[in-house]
Amino acid sequence: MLELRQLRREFGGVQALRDCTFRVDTGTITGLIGPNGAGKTTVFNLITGLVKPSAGTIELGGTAITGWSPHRVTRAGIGRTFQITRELGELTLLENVVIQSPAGGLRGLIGRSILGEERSRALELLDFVGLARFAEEKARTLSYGQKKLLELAGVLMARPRLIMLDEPAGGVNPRLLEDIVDRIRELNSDGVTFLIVEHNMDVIMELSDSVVVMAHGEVLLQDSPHAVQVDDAVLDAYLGRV
Amino acid sequence: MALLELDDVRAGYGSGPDILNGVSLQVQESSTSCVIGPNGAGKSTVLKAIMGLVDVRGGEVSVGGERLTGQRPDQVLAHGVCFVPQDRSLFPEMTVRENLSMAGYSLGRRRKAEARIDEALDAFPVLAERRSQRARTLSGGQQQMLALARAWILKPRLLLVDEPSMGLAPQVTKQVFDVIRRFRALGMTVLLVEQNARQGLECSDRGIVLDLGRKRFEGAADSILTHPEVRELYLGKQRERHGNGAAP
Repeated sequence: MLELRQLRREFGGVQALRDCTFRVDTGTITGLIGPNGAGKTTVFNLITGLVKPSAGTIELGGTAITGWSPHRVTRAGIGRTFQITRELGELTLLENVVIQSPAGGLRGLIGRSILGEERSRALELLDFVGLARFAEEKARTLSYGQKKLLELAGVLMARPRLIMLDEPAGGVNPRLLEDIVDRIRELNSDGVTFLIVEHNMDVIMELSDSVVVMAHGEVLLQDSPHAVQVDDAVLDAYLGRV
Repeated sequence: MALLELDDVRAGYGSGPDILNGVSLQVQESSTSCVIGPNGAGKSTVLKAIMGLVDVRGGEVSVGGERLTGQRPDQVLAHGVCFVPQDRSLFPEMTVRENLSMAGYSLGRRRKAEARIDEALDAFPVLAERRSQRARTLSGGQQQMLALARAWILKPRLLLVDEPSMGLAPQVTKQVFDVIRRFRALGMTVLLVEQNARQGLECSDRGIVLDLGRKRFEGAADSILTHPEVRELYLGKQRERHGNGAAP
């Protein structure tokens, strides 16, 4: 579904990404791991159009999307969450979800008249992530883990084919983490493809069909979770060099 | 004899969950210990809990037998504990010498502070050459040297250093760790947090491994990386897998 070829990006004199090549197969969950500074978030920013690559190509379902603007990438079927949640605290949960609808978006919020179809879709998604009972509460009242679930509901509003999650387990308590993992599994069994950056190794190794390992801006390998776990070069990348 | 003791420390930020879930550890006088562990293990929070920069919600922190739990950072500093944070916290618009003077203020006596600054400039020639340069114009490695030189001026009983290699090229990192070895040679006690576990352990006597806010194990620095739990700790539990990862 998604193919990155020879992707490169520099920031000033720093080579953040060099010849990054990997693929995400349709209907799979792909984990993207690596020590701090490996280039994982840069990869996310390049795919979603927040940052333009210096070289290389990105294809989604055979269409080149390299350098596309973020809204065009979203329309092409890619949804994304962020490491730090970006909810609008003074808006209700319902409003936070509706605002991410490509059809209604801001229009739905003007004059506080949320369109019927979008409202019911948003409520359905809040129900899916277990937050429907808080639909009319302000988003700032949620716990950090609940905000991650709210973000997932918002991303689903655009009915993406590929969802990219940036550290979905970070700062989340174990019970909510189970909820998040269950929702990812459910969506995946309904055909949604996932690319997930995650530091919780137990979670990512359990969820993923394939794992991409990055270090120092390069892809070290892409293989099954088990093959990654027994690879000495991967462990070396995490433990550092002298 | 242990200089630093943490006993069942629980700590977290604001109204968020506990990041440290009952950490107990000791650091022996005149030794260097390195805390390692995967992202989110709570490594930096251990240093902040000692320094009074995070809410300690339970347990005890003591240095030299004196209880530091709940004290403000300036009070902790007065007990001879100095912290070099990950972001180095320099004054970017001040010169190298002015940054050193800022550290000197906490010594109280001006003459003593001036003597220590001169001593630090002798010990860090790279900074002496740049004494009139603004801190923001220094390279990452030079900024780290300046942060360590500020600690040098205070001659702390206990030096806490958070991720000294962060964002530095390998050659520069080596120089920074050489400075940390010099602190140790002077008899100071050092507690280091380092993501590059190999490098951190190489300049330490002891290794302390954290995971999910708890101490997982500890031992002599040169034995830590051969511990059978290290692979699981960094790369997760290995399981038999069936199917394609779809919902059960």
